[in-house]
Amino acid sequence: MTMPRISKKVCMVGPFAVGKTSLVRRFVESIFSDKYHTTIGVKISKKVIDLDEAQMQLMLWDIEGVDVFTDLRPSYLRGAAGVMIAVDGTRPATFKQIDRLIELVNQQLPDVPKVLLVNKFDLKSEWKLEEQALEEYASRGIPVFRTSAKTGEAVEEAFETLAKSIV
Amino acid sequence: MALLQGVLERLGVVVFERTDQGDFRLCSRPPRWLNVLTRQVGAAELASGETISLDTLCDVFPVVDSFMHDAAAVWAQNDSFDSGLRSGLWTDIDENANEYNLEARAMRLDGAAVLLIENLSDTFSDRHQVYQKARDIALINEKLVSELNYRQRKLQSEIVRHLACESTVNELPEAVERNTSAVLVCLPDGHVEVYNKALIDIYEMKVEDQIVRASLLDKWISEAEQNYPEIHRVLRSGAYWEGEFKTKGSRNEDKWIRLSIGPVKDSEGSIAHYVCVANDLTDYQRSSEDWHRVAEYDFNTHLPNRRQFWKHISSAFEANAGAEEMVGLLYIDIDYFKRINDDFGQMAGDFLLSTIASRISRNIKYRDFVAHLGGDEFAIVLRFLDSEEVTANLSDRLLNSISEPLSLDGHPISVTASIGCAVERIKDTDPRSLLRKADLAMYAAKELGRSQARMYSKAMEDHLPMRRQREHELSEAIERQQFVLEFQPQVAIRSEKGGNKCRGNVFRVEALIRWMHPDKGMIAPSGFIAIAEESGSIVHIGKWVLSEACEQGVRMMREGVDLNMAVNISPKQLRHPDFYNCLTTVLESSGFPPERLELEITESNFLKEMEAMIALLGRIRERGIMIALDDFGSGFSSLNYLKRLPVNCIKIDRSFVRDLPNDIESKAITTSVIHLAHQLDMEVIAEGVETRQQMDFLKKQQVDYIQGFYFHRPMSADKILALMREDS
Ligand SMILES: Nc1nc2c(ncn2[C@@H]2O[C@H](COP(=O)(O)OP(=O)(O)OP(=O)(O)O)[C@@H](O)[C@H]2O)c(=O)[nH]1
Ligand SMILES: [Mg+2]
Repeated sequence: MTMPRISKKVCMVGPFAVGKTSLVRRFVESIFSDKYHTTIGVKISKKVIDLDEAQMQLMLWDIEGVDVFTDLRPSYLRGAAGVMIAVDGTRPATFKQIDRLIELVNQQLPDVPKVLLVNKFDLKSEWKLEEQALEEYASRGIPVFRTSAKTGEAVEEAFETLAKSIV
Repeated sequence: MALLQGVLERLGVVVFERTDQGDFRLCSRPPRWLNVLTRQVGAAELASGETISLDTLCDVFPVVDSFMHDAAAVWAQNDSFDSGLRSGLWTDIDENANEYNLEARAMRLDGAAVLLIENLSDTFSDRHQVYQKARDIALINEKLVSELNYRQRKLQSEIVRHLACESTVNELPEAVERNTSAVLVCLPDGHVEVYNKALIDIYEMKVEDQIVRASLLDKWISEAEQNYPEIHRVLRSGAYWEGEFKTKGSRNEDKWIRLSIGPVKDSEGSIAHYVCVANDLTDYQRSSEDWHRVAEYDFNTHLPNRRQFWKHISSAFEANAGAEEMVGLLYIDIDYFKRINDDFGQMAGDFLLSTIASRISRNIKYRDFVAHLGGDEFAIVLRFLDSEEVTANLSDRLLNSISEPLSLDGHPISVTASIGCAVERIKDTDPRSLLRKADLAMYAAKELGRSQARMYSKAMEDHLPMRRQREHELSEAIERQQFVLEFQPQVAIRSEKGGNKCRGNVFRVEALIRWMHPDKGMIAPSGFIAIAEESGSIVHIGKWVLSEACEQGVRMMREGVDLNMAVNISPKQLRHPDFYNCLTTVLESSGFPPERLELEITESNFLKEMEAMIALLGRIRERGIMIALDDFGSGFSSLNYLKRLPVNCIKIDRSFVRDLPNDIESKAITTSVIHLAHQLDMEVIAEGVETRQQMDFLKKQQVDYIQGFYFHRPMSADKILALMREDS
């Protein structure tokens, strides 16, 4: 018996070099590389996950990082069923962009489920974040995950949480 | 035709035409990659002339799905000559892990709706390299800048703390001495007090004498001034300054340093030292294009920084030398930003700046140029103006949008900005003087109470030197006995109190300072308090007012007046660590009864200091002294805090009274403030009451006291005595 399969688009957004591509690769291919290879435009990967009742095909849109050259292109977001916002726990500058990114996403996709990934948790000793501020996002209905693409910590969990809130 | 097909194929372009049914007909020859990708999703291979449904096309190219909405808008338009709309790049991978870098483009050509899919893989790696390099550098630079900022600020505060416990400085703490950042501590006139070894390294000076003779502070200021014309103003006002600029080394070579200058004030509030911390950035400067590009943006706000600002405005002036064109410059400075930084921390401050940056950017047109000059200062260059009015409209929009509420660490706050505008013809000015004028206008906006925009005028030029003169004169005014006090009665109008007296014949007055200037005559507080606040002499002056009011109060009481004396206490004075002791001394030496003294404090942003403030005010109240909250409603305070502050009385800000009884908003605010205060068991004073109508309205709302020309102007102690006798 084949389970019913639904296909959903999930976007990964965030400042440059926070580890968006690495997170997607960790989730899809279970690999990690230390080398930084910046993304231009968007790269789409697919992964099928098992939920309780069904299988879900996630179309993962790994969108280029936001920096001085590129801003988030709203059309990339169109049709997404969920959004992951990734920042880098070791770079306060990326943290400050969360609110703006949420705002941008909300403009294009009001009400889609979102999760916040604070990445590079393996470098926890270099983290410069205020935990309390993170709690605030959680209380606003945006689950927060302290992930590491390097060790894989909390990566699967984050994707699954988002997938479950999509169905 | 075949030739054309060949060209398209070579260019990696696939052409589809949208049919009336909404399918897509392939008009060009299908390249191999197209069919690799179609096969991959289980669709049939395409030949030239065949159609593919939108659904299948979107299966093959998911980005096309997202793009369709915008593409449809392009196709709905008539023919245009532009090159259409691009979807943005995406990367597809086939089963052999070959990557294809593609982009879709929608355009309308000869009446047909055309969709191009372009394979950009050939040029992709060049493009990628540029971005990669730029981002690598940006990453390093981001780390460097945040590290430097952190180091520099930490060092600054370390030294300031050290200076606070040392009266003379001829030695630095060991850690500072060994620090890799250069440190120089000097007197306001530049006289060198102490420095560390790293400073010698930057300038490669050998003998101590050289450092002393080099008058580095002056050198730095004049070097920095090239890029930061406002540096003099910032330092004079006692504020912290930091920036990056070029400096000449000992062999006349160019070096690039990042410098911060922090003033340290003495207990009197005057600047006693400057602490300068410098870092040599020369080695970090790369000559590559990427570096320059990266180094021209602010890392926090992502706006062009000061360096790019100069480049932009200078090239606009160069390219149009002698032109009639009018150029406008808006200089925006966030009000009380430093306080927000102090209260909420630097992270929150940075967040606030980036929010404001995006608000500013959203308000300007595409050909305008906005830059983040550093700190809390932004500038907008407006080209091709036809009138000054444009800048006025933009300023209004900016003031509104900047002051929209936002949440900082969970606290709802709203900030304001002061904006200075200058508009000139290119032929009549140069970038530097345009910036200087806009800065001056911004400064005028601050002087006039902040949260507003001012257009530059020539009169402002005289103002600055005048101000310096004023500062100087003010510092001597106490000694020369140029201050006098006047007293304005606060008349009780709630029926049970009645007349000039209240509560068993007590007569309420507020002590108001006047400056009898030898040349200018009498100057009202509005003409000098702001200057005294900024220069710090307010602490001195406030002390004088307090003790003079108490002494005169005792005298009047001896003459038989049973009075209640209200005295204004400035925020700086109240925050001064010695305030409570000073209050005690004054009461003891004058013999004025504490329960007859009322301190009028302003509700200026207590927020983070809330607890300390409540504790201090509580101690003051314990002595029987009363506390009134002045200018209520004008600041960013809120009623929430009111409940917690141990105050007896609220003074409704005169700006609300002024518009009574016609203005609906003022009416609503006054009414609710009065009711709320009464519920909290506080009394209410309305100040600035000038007309019968205002009086009637306030009386009806059961305000407790009225102060204003409607009853009495401020007057001398002797006149008060006369009035009192008349009254009885
Ligand atoms: N230590 C550590 N390094 C990580 C982690 N995730 C990513 N990195 C590294 O961070 C750098 C950037 O990772 P990417 O995944 O390319 O970042 P990105 O967000 O996709 O970057 P852009 O595509 O440029 O926006 C790489 O050098 C990664 O190896 C992590 O969890 N831990
Ligand atoms: Mg990436």
